[in-house]
Amino acid sequence: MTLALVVALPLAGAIVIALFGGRLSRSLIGLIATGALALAFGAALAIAQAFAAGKGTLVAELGPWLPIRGADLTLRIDPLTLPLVVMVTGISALICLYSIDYLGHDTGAQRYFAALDLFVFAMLLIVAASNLLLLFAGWELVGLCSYLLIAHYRERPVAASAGVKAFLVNRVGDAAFLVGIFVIFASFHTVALDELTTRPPLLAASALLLVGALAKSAQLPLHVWLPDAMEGPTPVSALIHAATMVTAGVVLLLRLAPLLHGDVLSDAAVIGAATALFAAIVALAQTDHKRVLAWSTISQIGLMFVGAGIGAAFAALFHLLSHAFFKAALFLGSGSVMHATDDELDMRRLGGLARRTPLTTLAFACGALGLAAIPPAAGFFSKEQIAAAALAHPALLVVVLATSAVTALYAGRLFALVFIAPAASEQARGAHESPPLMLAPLLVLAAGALVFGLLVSAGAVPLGVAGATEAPLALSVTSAALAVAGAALGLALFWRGPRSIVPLSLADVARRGFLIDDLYAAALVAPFRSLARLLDTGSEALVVQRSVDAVAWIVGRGGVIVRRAQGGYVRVYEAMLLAAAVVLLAYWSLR
Amino acid sequence: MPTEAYLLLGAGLFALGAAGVVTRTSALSVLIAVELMLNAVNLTFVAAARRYAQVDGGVIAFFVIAVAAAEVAVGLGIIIDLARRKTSVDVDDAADLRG
Amino acid sequence: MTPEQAIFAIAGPICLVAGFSAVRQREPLSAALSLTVTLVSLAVLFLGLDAPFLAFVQIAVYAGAIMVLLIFVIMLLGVSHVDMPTLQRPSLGLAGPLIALALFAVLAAAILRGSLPAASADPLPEDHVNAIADLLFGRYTFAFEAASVLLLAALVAAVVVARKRSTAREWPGR
Repeated sequence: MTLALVVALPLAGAIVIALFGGRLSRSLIGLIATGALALAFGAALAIAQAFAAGKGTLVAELGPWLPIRGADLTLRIDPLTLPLVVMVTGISALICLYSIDYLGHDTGAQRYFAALDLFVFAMLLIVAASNLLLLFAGWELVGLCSYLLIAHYRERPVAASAGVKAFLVNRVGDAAFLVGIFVIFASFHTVALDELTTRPPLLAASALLLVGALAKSAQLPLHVWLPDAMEGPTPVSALIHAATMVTAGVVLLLRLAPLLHGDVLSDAAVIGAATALFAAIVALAQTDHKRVLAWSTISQIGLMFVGAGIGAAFAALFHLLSHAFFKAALFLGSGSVMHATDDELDMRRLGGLARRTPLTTLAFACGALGLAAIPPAAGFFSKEQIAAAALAHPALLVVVLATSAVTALYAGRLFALVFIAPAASEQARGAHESPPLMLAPLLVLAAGALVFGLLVSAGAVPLGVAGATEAPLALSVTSAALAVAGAALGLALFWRGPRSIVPLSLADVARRGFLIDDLYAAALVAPFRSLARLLDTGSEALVVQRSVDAVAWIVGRGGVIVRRAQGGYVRVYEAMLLAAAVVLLAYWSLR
Repeated sequence: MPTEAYLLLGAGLFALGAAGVVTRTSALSVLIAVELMLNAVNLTFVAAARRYAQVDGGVIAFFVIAVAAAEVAVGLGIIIDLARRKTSVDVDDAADLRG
Repeated sequence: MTPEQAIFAIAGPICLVAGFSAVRQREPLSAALSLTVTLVSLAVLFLGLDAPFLAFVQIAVYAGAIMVLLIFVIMLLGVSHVDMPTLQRPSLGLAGPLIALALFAVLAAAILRGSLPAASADPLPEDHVNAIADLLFGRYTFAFEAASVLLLAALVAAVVVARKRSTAREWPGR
């Protein structure tokens, strides 16, 4: 019952807002959305309490759905997914609260908050579904909501096309995921997860599910949609990156781990490692502070893939949760910076905000500490766990450590450029602190980013999954030293303002994600465009249009002919009557 | 006389009436043509009655005359109304149902 | 030549020619008069067919009452309603005769195939009027009564349709 409540409350909020939101004021809509999420968070905490008291799993059977074995409307929470449920509801409630002021002047608040609640509902469905089909329904809903929210500023072509891009790239993964489900169902005739975990893993299905996870989690080579997703409102980015969307791939890997073939899992680890280092380097070259965070998400998710791929479920889950805290804090801080400076995104035009917006700076600093994995922030402990789990795989370990160093470097650079360097523009000089309703969630998240790791390591917050490994002291020291050194280097290099370290052309290539996007544009989009143009001018005009015209002409001419039969002239009717009588008489009498 | 002669005469009259119904445009002329068709049918009935020595044909002809009387009464009423509304009894003018 | 043959030889052609004239005349009055000739010649043919009662009804009801009514209405409406050649449906001027010709051809072919059931050897009953009366009030009583209802209904209908409308008072909304 409580479980059904957790999942249903966001849905109810979305429905209420969608149906009745038109008559309510913006802040009331925001309060309803936040209230639904906060209540869901409360219910999730109640479940956590029950689990702490010794309960193993919680199942809510809501009724049958499809006439397929296992495809019922059944929700299920186990110790693995419980922390996710608590995190998703809690962080999205905070983000939703933050959005109330952030969208204070937006006319699209109704659809924004409705989609936000629906987004959380969809993510909860992924986390709590008891079978693959229900999970897939949540998966698709997440894709839909991300499209709606990324393209929230739909009057801006860039935002609209970013939404379409996210939708299309995700479609690749969704298709693979669906085919994977088909393969599994064809082999085992069931989609229920607890039945499937006892079956031997299938290589093909595992690979297909991995492709689905890669697309949703923006891993190489399907990462291209995430940087563009920055076109949405900043709280949406926070939601997508921290709570609801990109972590879905990791959740999938963690939940379906028993179903996945070992080879595929190690592939996932390799892809994750490659993505982590690649995205970290790209993040280093960004000039837009939101894009730094976007690329850093790709990178951090890559680390989670490493953890999930090498079977370190605890490490992956731990990093997922601490990442949720610090990334949400960073994004909301980024939004606060934008709020303070008239939506200035270019770091080269910012600076000096530390004095003008102290609370934002404080929160952002906590998030940056978490991202850079500097002890005692949350990221340090979780990254250490991943590194410890990767001890058995030297190549992966090297990549993880290198990523940590680069991450700390760009985190330092980001913080230095935005907050410490001399103000480089009028907006930066005129910055003002955000309203309390935005600062409160920000500070809560910042505190979480700071202390969450300690709490977990000390055992105060149980994650429900065993597997915490004691990292060797040498590893802890190494990673801490790398992080501190990286961050210090970043701060030192950039505290006076932007400067170029590497040749400009190289930096530009890196900034553009090593041209993978351009490669796709040339290899996929351009041929598709020319094919479309060919079809447009060729077959569309010659075949389709002509045939449509021909059909219309035939119908029109037929109408002209048949119309005479209904001309209203009595004599015509009489003539037709007689002619028909003649034909019938001839048939009957002369045959 | 063979019955066929009467039948042929009836068929000829009927065809004449049919041609009149289609070609005439004055409602009065159409009504006259319809009368012609009815009488052609009557002739066939009476001829058949004689051929098969059954008076039933005559009785049917009698009914046809009664129906014709009713038809003329209503038809003329319609024609008068038509003349009043359209100031013409041309059946092609009474084509308000034309699409 | 039997009397019947003589009657057919004289009345038949008259009937056909007068019918043709009734269809061809543009002037409704001339057409009506031609139709009267057809009706009278048909009555004569009925006499030759041993149906004197019907011949009488034909003259009295048809050539008498019905034609008088028709001619009365024609005169009432005046000469302005001459059947003028119309330009609206020119094709029907051709289609009408063609259809009629086809109709006649089909009927004649059917008649001349000789597939009619054999004629009865008996003559018609001598007492023709009595025989008709027996049938009318015997086997055809229901049809007879129905015909009387039909005539009544036609009477009422003719009055309603042809009555001069006193517009809005009776038909609000027109």
